[in-house]
Amino acid sequence: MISGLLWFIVPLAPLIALALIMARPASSVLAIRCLTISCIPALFAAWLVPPVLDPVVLWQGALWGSDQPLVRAWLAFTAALWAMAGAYAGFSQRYDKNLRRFCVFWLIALSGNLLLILARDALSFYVGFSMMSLSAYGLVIHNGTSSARRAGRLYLQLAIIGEVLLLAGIMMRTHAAGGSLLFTDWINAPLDPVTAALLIAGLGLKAGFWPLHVWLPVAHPAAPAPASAVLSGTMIKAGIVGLWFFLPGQPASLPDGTLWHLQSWSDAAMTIGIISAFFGVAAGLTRYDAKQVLAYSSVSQMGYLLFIVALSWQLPDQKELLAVVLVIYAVHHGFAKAALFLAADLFKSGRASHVFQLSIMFLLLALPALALSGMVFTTGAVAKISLKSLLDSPEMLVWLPWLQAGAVTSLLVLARACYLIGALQEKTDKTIPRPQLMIWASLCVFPILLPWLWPTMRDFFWQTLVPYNLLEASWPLLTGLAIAVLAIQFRWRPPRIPPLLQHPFLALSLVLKRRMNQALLPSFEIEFPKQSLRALERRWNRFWQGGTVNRSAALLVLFVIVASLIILPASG
Amino acid sequence: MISASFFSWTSILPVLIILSSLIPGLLIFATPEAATRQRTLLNLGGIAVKLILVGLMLYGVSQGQSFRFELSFLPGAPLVLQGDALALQFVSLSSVLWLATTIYAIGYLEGSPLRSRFFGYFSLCVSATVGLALAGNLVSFVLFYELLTLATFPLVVHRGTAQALKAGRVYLAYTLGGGTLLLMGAAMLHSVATTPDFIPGGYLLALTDEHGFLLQTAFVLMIAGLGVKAALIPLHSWLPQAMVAPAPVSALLHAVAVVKAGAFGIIRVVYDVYGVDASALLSLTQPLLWLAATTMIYASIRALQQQDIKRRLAYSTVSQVSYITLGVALIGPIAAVGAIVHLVHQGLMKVTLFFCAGNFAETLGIHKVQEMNGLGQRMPWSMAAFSIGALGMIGVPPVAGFISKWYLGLGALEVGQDWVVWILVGSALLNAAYFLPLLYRGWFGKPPISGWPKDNFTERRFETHWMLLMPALFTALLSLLVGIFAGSVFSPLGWSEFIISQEFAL
Repeated sequence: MISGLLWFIVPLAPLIALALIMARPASSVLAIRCLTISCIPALFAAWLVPPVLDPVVLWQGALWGSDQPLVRAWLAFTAALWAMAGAYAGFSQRYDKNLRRFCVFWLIALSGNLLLILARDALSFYVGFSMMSLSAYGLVIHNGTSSARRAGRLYLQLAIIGEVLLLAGIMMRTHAAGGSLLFTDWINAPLDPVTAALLIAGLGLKAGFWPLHVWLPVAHPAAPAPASAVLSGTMIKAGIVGLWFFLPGQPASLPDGTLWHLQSWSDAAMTIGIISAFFGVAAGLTRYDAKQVLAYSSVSQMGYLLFIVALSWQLPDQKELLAVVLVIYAVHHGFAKAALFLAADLFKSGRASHVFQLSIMFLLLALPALALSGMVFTTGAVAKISLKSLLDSPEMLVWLPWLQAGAVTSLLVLARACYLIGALQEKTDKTIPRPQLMIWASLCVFPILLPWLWPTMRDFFWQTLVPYNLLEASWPLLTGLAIAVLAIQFRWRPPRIPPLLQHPFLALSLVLKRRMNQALLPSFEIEFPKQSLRALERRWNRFWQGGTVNRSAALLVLFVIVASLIILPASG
Repeated sequence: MISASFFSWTSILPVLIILSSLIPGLLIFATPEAATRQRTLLNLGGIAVKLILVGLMLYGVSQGQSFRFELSFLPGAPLVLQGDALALQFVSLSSVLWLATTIYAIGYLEGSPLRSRFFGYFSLCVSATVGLALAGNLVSFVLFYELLTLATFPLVVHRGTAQALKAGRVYLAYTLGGGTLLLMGAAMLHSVATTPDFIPGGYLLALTDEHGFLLQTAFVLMIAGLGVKAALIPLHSWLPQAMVAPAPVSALLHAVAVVKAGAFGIIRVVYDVYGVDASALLSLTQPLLWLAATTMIYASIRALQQQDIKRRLAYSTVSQVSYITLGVALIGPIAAVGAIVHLVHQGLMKVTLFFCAGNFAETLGIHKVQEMNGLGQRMPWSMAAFSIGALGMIGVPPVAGFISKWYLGLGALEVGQDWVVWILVGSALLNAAYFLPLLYRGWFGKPPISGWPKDNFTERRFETHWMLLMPALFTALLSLLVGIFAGSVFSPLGWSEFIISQEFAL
């Protein structure tokens, strides 16, 4: 029998590691061990499923841990991804003189990320969310370059805004649920549009779908590669997991007496998801920086996740099945995108020593990219088919063509990313660092291995192997590949977009910061007219010729008596 | 008249708690300047005794004991000291922070002149604060309120510079004026209801029909009088000016003694004099709520523009203390828990911030926000403590400030004042806007190439004098712990819920 205290150790382990690193001068060996080992309790918890823990010593109604498949899978993949990225970071940041600072922010973000997944009450979720959000700032600006600082500023401004909006939403939701913090009670509590909008905005700013994505393509390229990997792989998904737990609720009556249900927003949200999917591709195709293209691809993929969440508002009976689809999508995207972000660093950090190694590397690089485009035999095909199985009812058929088209465009943007990553090889003469290569390679094979290893995925996996499905999954892929090959053949180059138009919000963020430092309000503090007052005081002193204090006191007493004589009868 | 139970321990304990800092204070005045060891011994001995006595009283009250001391004073208004749960919240806060601040002050003033005078008034100031907390009726409260004003003035002007004297004059003008208003209000109440003990639910409900206008006038007068010390706008200007005082005095002023005395007074007046029902009946609280909300936002915006670290902290105090007023004015059990717990939380966090600001000034000569670049590399521990305090002020969990904000927000929703949530949101954003740049400079900025303005304590084991560092770390740790373990019975939150269950008769 395993104790519920294991849930407690999950977010605590990174903090213990933090204390260890603070206590000793940071060596890269210690850092690698700490960053990796502190994820292990989470893996155990996801595997063994200890009983639920209620740490009421923290706050009333705190509840940690769950046996829901969604939570288990989410926790496991998050921990695994952090562990691998952490191991990579231990090697890639080895000679960083700010290694210790990097580890501090990394571990706090890790702890927060794990906590928000195992939280069954809103306050625990919020605590984890804040820890993760704020400490990720330290990762974004770690390099200290001016572009990193700019990106960090925008990131932090939006993170803070998102957090307070989320807090306001949580307060209103808790109030509606009669003070209960538990997600299980929230399902039965009425949900009004203001609360829903606050929660969607607050969590959406983290999830980074269009139009709340503005920080994402700026912040991801600025951070060190392993940090971008976890940012894109797990952290932005905190927004999605939050939306999943916090919404929906029961219909609420509006001031005008009508009933409002979240369902009425689901079409709009699904449309936003689809817009996000295509916007990310369009924007990604016009960028020249590999990590930025990858970041836009994340915007695009988060669109699909939002689509699934919004679908669950429409189909409340199928929520359990949708949970499976959601987690499959999240796991699939998390591993593949993390592998691609690490590739962007690895290909830059060293040159393959011979043609064989180079071709292996390109093959490995193609794996996650193709998986994200939905290739058969990978997690991508499984994710696609699981989602499609939900859209077979007639009223849902409208969405199907968009998903098909999405597969083509996903491939295009990832092809561009791979092209740019490959081009990074030209820029270096060093030999490729072997430990990083091994870690990256093992991450790259996840999209192939997972359908075999993970029972949840395996059921859908068999479906993808039906000939009809094979064919249906192949044509978008082949179309996309054909376009990509043609584009490379004809040396197509995207139009250059002026920097200001690329990231208009960076400029706005600076304006906001400058405005904050200026006087926003006049001071209306009462300033004593010092000189005249002092002169008055002197004249007063001279007037009474010595007996000033006594006579002033007598006058005061007289004043009080007169005042009370006036006030008392008036009230009596 | 001395009652029979005069010498029982339940009646003598409140007096002993006040004397435990008053007597050492008076003795310190008599110690010669050079007798550092004697003075330190008196200071620390007094604190130790006080902490033990407060612990005893805490235990007693939690077991249902009541502590009351009475001495006839004015007709119908005896001098009463009473150890109820609310008083103890404030007494415990001031005793614990007195410990930290005294240690800090010993380190801060090491080798400077006039220390006997300083520590004497320092102890008197704490005695007045504790007396004010234990005051069992309005007249006793007013008495200690005035004593507090007089005891703090010498501390504000301690440095004796022209600037300090000017700040002192402003301080005195404001607080004496406020004291007069409070006295007038108390006198008016005394004229219609005499002065019974503070009692949960108040004692004026029966009089609201007959003396409605008088009660309203007295309320306005008393709130104006208390609002001076609680720094409600437009009565707050003295506070940013008073920051010229030495760092330990600022810490004490902002976290425990003066500002809190005002806020505590507002709690007493609303809950234990007027009572929740009478306040609502006389429609007194809605204007107070607006005033508190305006103060929160206005002071935060002003804080943004301050380039002096201590001035920025001072405006932050103006804003944060209004959280307490806000929670009181909301008139609901949950908001009241938020208000009372913020009394403690704000104290812990703000004292940490002032300790750290003092450390930066004493160790490296840093006074301006712009000079903080790269501070985290030279003084990581102080900077870490500062960060905890600042994050708590913004309301980032799990630091204490978050708990207060959470209860205030839920409390506002509970009584249907949804707009207050937006005020809290705005205040949190502004807090972030004026605190985060400091943290950014400290942790990510590059230290000045030309070196720090000055560089003391380089040969010490720690980054600064240990007596400057330890109190800051202690209070930072406390503000973290009371936030993390807010759900435990011994936390300020647990105690606040205990208090409120009495006030609202739940």
